[in-house]
Amino acid sequence: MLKYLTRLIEKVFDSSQRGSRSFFFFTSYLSILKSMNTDQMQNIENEPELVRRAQNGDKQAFSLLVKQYESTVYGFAFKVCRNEEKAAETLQDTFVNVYRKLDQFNGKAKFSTWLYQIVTNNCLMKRRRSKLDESSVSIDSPENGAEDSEREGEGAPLHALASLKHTPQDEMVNKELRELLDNAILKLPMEQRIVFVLRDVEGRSSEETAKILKLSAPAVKSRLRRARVFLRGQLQEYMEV
Amino acid sequence: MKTKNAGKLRCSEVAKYVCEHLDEEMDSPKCRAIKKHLQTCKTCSKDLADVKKVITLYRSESVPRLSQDIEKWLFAALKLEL
Repeated sequence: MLKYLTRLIEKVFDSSQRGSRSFFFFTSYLSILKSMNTDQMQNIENEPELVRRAQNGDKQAFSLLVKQYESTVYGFAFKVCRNEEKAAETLQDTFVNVYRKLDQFNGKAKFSTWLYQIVTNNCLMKRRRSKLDESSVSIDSPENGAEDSEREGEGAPLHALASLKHTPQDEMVNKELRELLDNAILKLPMEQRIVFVLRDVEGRSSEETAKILKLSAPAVKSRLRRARVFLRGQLQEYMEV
Repeated sequence: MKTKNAGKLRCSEVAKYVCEHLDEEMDSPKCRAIKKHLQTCKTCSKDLADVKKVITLYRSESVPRLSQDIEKWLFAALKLEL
């Protein structure tokens, strides 16, 4: 396509016009298109090469990998943590770990599978750390807890919903439903929560989920079944409406 | 499962969920038996409909977009240029 456009421009502008401003404009536009096209090729079609370059210390290649996957990692972390701040921290921890461990990636699995392994580990570690924090709460913690839950209630999804122009009544229902969903999933053990998000929300296959979590397929199915049953029980009231 | 079909529940999808759990092929004898059972058992079909509703709710929920501030923060932490 780009070659065709280049030839077309050369035909339209004969040799006498090639110094003109329009010719300059079109050729500049083409060179921008070419550079964009190169980046997209690297992003989408040549990921193994991009990973290899990043492993050899090419910072531009690593930037492209981060760009390619940052939204996926952030979205997944948010769905698991249900909190924007924690999702942002998980995003950063994940890519710092990816950078440190990049030479350990051997290309046998898909890069995205390896990335999910790192982000799920970070979610599990974050959960363990917060459990330790909970066990050493200070005298101020009830107040802090109230502030946190307030912040969560007014958290990030609201700005996303605002653009949909819901009525105040819709927004109240959305907020209530979101709180219900948040509360239900946050009660799930992290191991089951991650399986539920990977399989049912992200749509990853049982096989890939098993690879990501280094579990057997039956173990994935068992956790998924327990998670579904638990969430159904938690949301029973909403189901009856 | 597509969010736009959230309101409708197709038996083949319901059966797929059950069969996925049981690790059976869609046309295995066990799967066929489950499909038959679902046609007559209101409790099971209600349970499965509820599970599907739960999944649909979590899938259709909006996730905040990655803000430019978070992206800048990430790239700064990684010492990369945006």
